[in-house]
Amino acid sequence: MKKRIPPARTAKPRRRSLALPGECTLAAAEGLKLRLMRLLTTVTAVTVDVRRVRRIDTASMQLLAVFVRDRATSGRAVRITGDSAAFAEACRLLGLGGLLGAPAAAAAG
Amino acid sequence: MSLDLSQFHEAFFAESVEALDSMEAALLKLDVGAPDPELINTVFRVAHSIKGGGATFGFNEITSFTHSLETLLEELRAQRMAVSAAISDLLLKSVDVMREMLRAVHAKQSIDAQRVADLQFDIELAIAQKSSDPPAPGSAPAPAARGSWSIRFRPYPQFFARGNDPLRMLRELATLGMLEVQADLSLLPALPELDPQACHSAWSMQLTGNVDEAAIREVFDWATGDCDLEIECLSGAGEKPEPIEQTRAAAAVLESPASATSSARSESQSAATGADSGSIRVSVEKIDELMNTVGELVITQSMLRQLGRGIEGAAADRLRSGLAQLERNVRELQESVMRVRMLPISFVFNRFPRMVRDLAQRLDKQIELKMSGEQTELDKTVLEKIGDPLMHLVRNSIDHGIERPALRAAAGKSAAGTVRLHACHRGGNIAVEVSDDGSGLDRERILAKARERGLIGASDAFSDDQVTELIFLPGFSTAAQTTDVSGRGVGLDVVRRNIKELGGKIEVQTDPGRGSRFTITLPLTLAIVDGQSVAVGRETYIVPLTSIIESLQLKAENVNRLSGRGEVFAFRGSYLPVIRLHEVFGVEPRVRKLHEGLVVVVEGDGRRAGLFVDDLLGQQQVVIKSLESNYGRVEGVSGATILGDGSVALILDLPGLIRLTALRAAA
Repeated sequence: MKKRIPPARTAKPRRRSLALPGECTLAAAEGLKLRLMRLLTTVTAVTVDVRRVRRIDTASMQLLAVFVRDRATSGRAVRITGDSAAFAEACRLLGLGGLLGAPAAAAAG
Repeated sequence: MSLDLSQFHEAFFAESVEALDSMEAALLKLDVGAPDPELINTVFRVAHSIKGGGATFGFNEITSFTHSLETLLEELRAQRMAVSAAISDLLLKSVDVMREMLRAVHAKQSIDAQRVADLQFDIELAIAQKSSDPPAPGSAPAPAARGSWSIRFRPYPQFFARGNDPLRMLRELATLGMLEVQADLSLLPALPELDPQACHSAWSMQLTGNVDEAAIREVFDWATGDCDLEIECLSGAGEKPEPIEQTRAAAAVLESPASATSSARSESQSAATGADSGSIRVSVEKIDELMNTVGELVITQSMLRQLGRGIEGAAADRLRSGLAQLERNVRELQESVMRVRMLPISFVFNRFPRMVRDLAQRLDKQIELKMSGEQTELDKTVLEKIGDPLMHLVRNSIDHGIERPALRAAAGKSAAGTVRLHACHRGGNIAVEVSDDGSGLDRERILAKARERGLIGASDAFSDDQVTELIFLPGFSTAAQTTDVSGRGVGLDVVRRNIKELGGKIEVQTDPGRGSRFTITLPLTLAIVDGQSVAVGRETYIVPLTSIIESLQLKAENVNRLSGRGEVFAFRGSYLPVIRLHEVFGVEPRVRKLHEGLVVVVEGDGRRAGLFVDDLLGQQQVVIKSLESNYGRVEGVSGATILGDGSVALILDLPGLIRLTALRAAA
């Protein structure tokens, strides 16, 4: 499998993005927080790509929710892209659909 | 990364066994016809947590059985089925079967599949028959609260770390009906301050569907104690709101007496560190190790004290006061460690309600069991050994003591007999009484039986006390016919011997027609003994103080020599044998003539003897070191201890010693 290059480095200037790994679990939460922290103060909109997410737990969802909320309070946008059934289900069950805006495509899947 | 679950097996077994005890206790308290819902909940929680544990660890038989049991309990909890005597029996049998399964799985043995399957079949049959067995009219209306529920769920920060994931629970909730969820993020700190491992989110939900409160609770059962949970009925049957989950969670955290503690224990799977944070589970080996080290410390301290005596000079006083302080601290430390080993006697008492109930049923008697002093504490080793003797006495009371209801009525007594278990501290001992209000000991029957068995001569005369002593003779059993309850060849003689081995004694008082009382007196601990040290040649021996009657110096003319019995001397109207310790242990004594040394009159196993020693040294508490585990069993010696000067002294086992010398003299 081709090794994936971290998107933060390949992103176009003035647009930063983050791709979530397949397994977003408690063990990986610390790492996710650090990656989100680096994007917290990025002035332009940040994209979070959830395409690869096969499994995600409440701890990771909580981090994302805080990230989106904190950016929103300082008027900075976050866009969720990609579709993942696991992510969509987590949004719906945890009542975070409004905040994280589950991608429409996932609702069907 | 896969988690090695086997490390949790021990905890699962230990907690399940405890949980089953509380389940059994709850079942015994359960009134047929008008069951207390909280008791049913306790029982349900136990079954549920064992099922969960069984599933986690892959013990499929346990999971399958508890699943059926849980279904039955669910029916009872929802009051779709009434608690009948038959159901109550079924549940108690389930406790036995689960205990047995746990034991078998723990010991890696095969499970008695037939027995499990039979009972499981009975349980499923009972559930299937529920339609023909509707709840008795007049019983409380079933809370068939279906409709809309409001649920507020606030996990504590450690929720994730305990292996719980709210997402999983909400997913399960969503299977019960229409679920609407609002997340409450108000407690979440800003990202930089957020601990990614801590849960700061909360949720409020509305669940609509054909669902009752029990089913909702079940979803959160594993997390009780780790979250605040409020469940409120919004519609359906017009019930008043029931925010009872909150109190349940609180009850698990607050250490409150009786029912709360038992329910807290039964939920301990996930709440082990939350609800029971006031206590920790420590292996006995660790405590024994600690005890051992403290024992060594006591020895070192007395060694230092002896050294300190010999020191003179300016610093000597300061040294001695320091040593005195050390001695106090060591004694306190020793007492604290001893207290750690102490357990309330309720651990033993708790088996009795079930046993008494079963026995009474089998013997067709009515028995009321009253227990008091359950909180009396005693050493774990003593506790473990007292169970069987007590069991025997209670069984005797029910089988031989309490009369059948008709007989009792004829004697003007209440139809139900009372068996009383009582424990209390008396001095440095613990006393446990087993008493009943039955017929008491029948003097004539005892005498007749003893004659029949050839235990006594046909014309021997006996005082009342001597008659009651007869029942402790080997080969004595008064039951007219041997039942499967008592009289299985294990008699009171074994009870007495076991208790003697623990350094205790058993006495009986009886009042014909009104009952009898057996009193067992036991030392609080087996680890330390008050001893008299005696010198023989260059050796020191310890004689347990409790067995010493008197010490005296004999005059040559008081000693006689009898053939077959060796030397005897007159003591309070009887002749006692002289045991020359130097001969028994092969030591070169300083004195050989009886009038030059001292004789310590001791009693062991009801027999007295005089120990001939060179000199008495002093009295002290000694820590018993087992000879058996360090060397091997030595007849006449119960253990060893290390003295202040570092030398080893043997602790005498007087019953053994007396037996030994009687044998040698006869040979």
